[in-house]
Amino acid sequence: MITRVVRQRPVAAGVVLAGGSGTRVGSELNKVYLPLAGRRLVSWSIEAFDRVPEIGVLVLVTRPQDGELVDWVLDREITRRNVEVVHGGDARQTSELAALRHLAGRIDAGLIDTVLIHDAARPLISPGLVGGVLHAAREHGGAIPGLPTEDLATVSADGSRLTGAAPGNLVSVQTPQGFYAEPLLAAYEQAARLEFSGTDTASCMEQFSDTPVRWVHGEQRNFKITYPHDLVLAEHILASSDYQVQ
Amino acid sequence: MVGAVEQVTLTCQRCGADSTHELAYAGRLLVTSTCTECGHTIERDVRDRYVADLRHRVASKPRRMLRRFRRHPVSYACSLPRAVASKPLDVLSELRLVLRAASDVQRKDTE
Ligand SMILES: [Zn+2]
Repeated sequence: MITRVVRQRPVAAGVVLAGGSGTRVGSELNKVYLPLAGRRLVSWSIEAFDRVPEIGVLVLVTRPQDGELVDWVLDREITRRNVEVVHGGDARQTSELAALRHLAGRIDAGLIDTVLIHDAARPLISPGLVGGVLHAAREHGGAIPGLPTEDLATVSADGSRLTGAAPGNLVSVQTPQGFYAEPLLAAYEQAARLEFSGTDTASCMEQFSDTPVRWVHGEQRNFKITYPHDLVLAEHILASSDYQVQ
Repeated sequence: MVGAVEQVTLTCQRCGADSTHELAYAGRLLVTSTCTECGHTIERDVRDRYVADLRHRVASKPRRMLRRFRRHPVSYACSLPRAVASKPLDVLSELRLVLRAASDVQRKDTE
């Protein structure tokens, strides 16, 4: 008897980090659950990932204390039914590790080939940029969106005076950052063993992997909500696109 | 929407601190933001947008209700009487917030 093994084509996984490391007091709302143009901040990112057909698995990394809000958002605002919720740690790195360990079985089995990690505090990510990062990561091993910064200057060591324009080729880094899944998982396991803590996905990969990383042109609107004005700006942008993910 | 006032950590444009900010919303619109460290407040005149938004919320309500009803028919039906009763009051308090912020913005403009 001949058995035919139909090998599934591997998919990409999107990981949305909703840890809210900037929250200072327990009673405060995690900013990724702030209302923004009729939805919670986090649900705009989930929606953008959901619009990219190659994203076969979608993981939301949350804090255990946000459980009710997570349920509320997934129930009321998200059309996709199979968003996988994972509890993360206090730091970005431990949250990313939790997501990767959650996916480890499927990565080892070759069912997931690429992972994109995104910060939920950047709600205006577009499906186009998600697709662009994914495409570049699949082609080169790693891809990071960034915007060229032309107005940066360097300051003296004590911070008292400007010493001139910053050297060229600087980019301000955005998310999602995408990598081949296997070396990404291996790098994070090694970082955990050595108790290394990086600022973002790329810094961990730089330290523990020689996967080549490609810059992808980011988007102006993919900014991180930091100041109150950012919320006003984001609301304007969404209103001008008729409250649709663009 | 849960509540019209949210407390959240943001970076203040004036004092530069990562501090608790109180954000007041009317429907989908952010109306005021206040830094609890230094009192720095942003107020917006959103009167026109609020009216347009209210119209949109009312118009899209049947579609939203249907989606929720399909997912959880029993719990949704049970929550109906309360939801309907609280709506006019929500709109009134939102309207009060919108008008107060708008008059503050106008006063600052003429000062
Ligand atoms: Zn302040």
